[in-house]
Amino acid sequence: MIKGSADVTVAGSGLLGLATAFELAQRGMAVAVVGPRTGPHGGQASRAAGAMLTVFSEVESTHPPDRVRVEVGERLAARAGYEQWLAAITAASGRSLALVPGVWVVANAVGADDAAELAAIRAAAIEHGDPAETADPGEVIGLAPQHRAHQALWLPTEASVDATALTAALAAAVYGHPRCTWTDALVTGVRESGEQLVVAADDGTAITCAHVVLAAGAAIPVVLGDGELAEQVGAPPLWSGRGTSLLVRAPFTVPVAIRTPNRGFACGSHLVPRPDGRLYLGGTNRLSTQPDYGRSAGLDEIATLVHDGGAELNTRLREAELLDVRVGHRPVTTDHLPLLGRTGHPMVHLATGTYRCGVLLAPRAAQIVADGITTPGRHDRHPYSPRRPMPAPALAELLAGSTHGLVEMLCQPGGQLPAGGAERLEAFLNAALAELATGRTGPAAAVQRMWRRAPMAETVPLLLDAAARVS
Amino acid sequence: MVGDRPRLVLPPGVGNVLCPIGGETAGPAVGEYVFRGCRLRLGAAGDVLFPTDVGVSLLAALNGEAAVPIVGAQVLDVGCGSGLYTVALLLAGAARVTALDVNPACTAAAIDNAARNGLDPGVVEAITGDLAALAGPPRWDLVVCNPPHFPSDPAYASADGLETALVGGVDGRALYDVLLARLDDLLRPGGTLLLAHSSLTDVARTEARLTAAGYAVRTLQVCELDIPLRRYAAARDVLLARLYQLRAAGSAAFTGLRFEVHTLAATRPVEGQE
Repeated sequence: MIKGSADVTVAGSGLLGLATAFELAQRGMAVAVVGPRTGPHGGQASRAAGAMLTVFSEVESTHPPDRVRVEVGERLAARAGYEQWLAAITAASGRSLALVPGVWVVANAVGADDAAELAAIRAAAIEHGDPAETADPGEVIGLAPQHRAHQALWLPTEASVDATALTAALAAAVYGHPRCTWTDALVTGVRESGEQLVVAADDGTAITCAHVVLAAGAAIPVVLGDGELAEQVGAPPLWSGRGTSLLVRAPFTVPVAIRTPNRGFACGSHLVPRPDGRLYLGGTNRLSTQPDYGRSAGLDEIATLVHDGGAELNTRLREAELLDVRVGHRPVTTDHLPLLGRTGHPMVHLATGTYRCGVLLAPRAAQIVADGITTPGRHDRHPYSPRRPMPAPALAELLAGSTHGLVEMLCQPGGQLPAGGAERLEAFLNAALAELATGRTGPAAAVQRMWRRAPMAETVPLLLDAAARVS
Repeated sequence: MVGDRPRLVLPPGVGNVLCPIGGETAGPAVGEYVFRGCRLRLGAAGDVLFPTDVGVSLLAALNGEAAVPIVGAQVLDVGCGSGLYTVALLLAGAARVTALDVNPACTAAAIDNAARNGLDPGVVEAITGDLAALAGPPRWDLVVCNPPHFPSDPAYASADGLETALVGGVDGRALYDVLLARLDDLLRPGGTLLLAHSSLTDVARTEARLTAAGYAVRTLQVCELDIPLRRYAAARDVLLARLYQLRAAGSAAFTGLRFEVHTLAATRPVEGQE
């Protein structure tokens, strides 16, 4: 009846944006998507993702129990509906999608606390009634690392999916949907016009709509700008964890995903099977306070992937053929929890902040965000609500928890310090960082500015880069 | 015959396009509109809704429509609000208007606005009361109405006069349904109902009921414009969610914040001519 208007504009065409558009269209909404549809999709986390459905294996032993309960609960809810979601995408796109069931988590001496990490992962699975079977690492097909694994954990209810095929199928489902339109351009801004919201794209398109869902990751603060609208929205700070991954053809087979636990601010090393015998190798993670979506992978990032993969998963990775290199920016918040649903503005919603679990959380996130539009108020007290309080953690607390990871990151994988060396280095770094946190010198002021901007553990590695610049 | 209906498209993001607020800076907001060559000026304040484009679109439809006879007509203005239709139809030659509203501030405003436009107070009969209680016999040549069209919800409920003007029961149709039920008590045979019918309140249902009652129904104009949400800006997510339910049920039509107002003219059959 009425052309040129939409019930909802979804800004961003990554998995979270597309999942939300698909969900809303299925609920009868007229949806306009603004985001790259063709071209390289530079920087989209979805396109660089390993796409393991890691319900439990993202749990870390140092995470507070409340956070574990919330996160595992949401990931379980997402996992429970995943097959049904894939079936709906298949029905709409005509493209078949399949999960590869199960994920192996392996512990080795590279991570000093790997046994504790596996225990925490196993405990989370058992607590939620899911199986988690301890096994001999010799049973893990494709595992042949330089550093011997001492334990393996089989998580049969976790899984992996081909992120490229999933994104392509979802894009086809959205693009072909009679209630969806898709502007193949980058969103540049959102403004109000009367009670209407107007979303502008870099090809000159302006879409008039009732609701806006911002799913453009760490670009969201740029899209919102700093005017009255941004103030009313009140979006919490958002950064990105820049990740690089490789697609390879290796001289060995990996039938199901193998990963190490999280460590040293990163997601460990992981190999994930892809169709036609290809393998996905991931992933680096580097906090970026000003994401550069156009920047290609650095040799340092690629070298780290190859080195870690050989040390922890399979030494023969060096013989593999490199097929593709991808860089993605995982959106992340100060408290590491996603931002899903209504903001301080009744018609502006966020679908972002899913960090390392975006592929798994996509269908669940889409439901929560769509509910905020079709049944307002339903998730106002959800722990992922963008309106939750997000106090910045105390600096001293952050430092105390970060130096251990920093030393681990510098040493890994397989780097050796003399007995007791790591502990002494940690204590030294703690003292040095505490000086910087309270000092009045120029370098101290620079560090304090960085902390204020991104008060989270992942900022610690950035200090190393800053140190190079300061000296 | 959809293509034959005149279509008026108002720009998005702008309110009061047809009837801009102008004139005095002190006192109530005053809107101006030129109807059939006559300039009318309407003031509204407090509990009285300022004329919106929804209501004014009916006058825009009548501006180019000679087939609806106004000169000499006895008119019933149902839910008169600020008196927009009362004043416009009197200036265009109507003999007398009964201005009906449940809100006493509205009937008072209609009288004030008639005086503001130099009309003889004797030609306005103001009645504060409910349409359901208005006594017959059918004596009006024209019944004109811009009914409230929003569905009700506790999230944005209030007990003031503006609520009365905008919200019409769980499906938004409360006044439409009373009006249709009582039409034969109001309109004399051959008389015409002029309705500013919102696409949020099931235009097809009204057309079907009128047709079934033997009325000749014409669509004089379809106006596309923004849903006037300013009053409910803070709760417009809830209001829209109610409308999504009605749309899913097939009884509301809109996209984003764009909807339509159909100006319907339904003429009561004369005995023996059905």
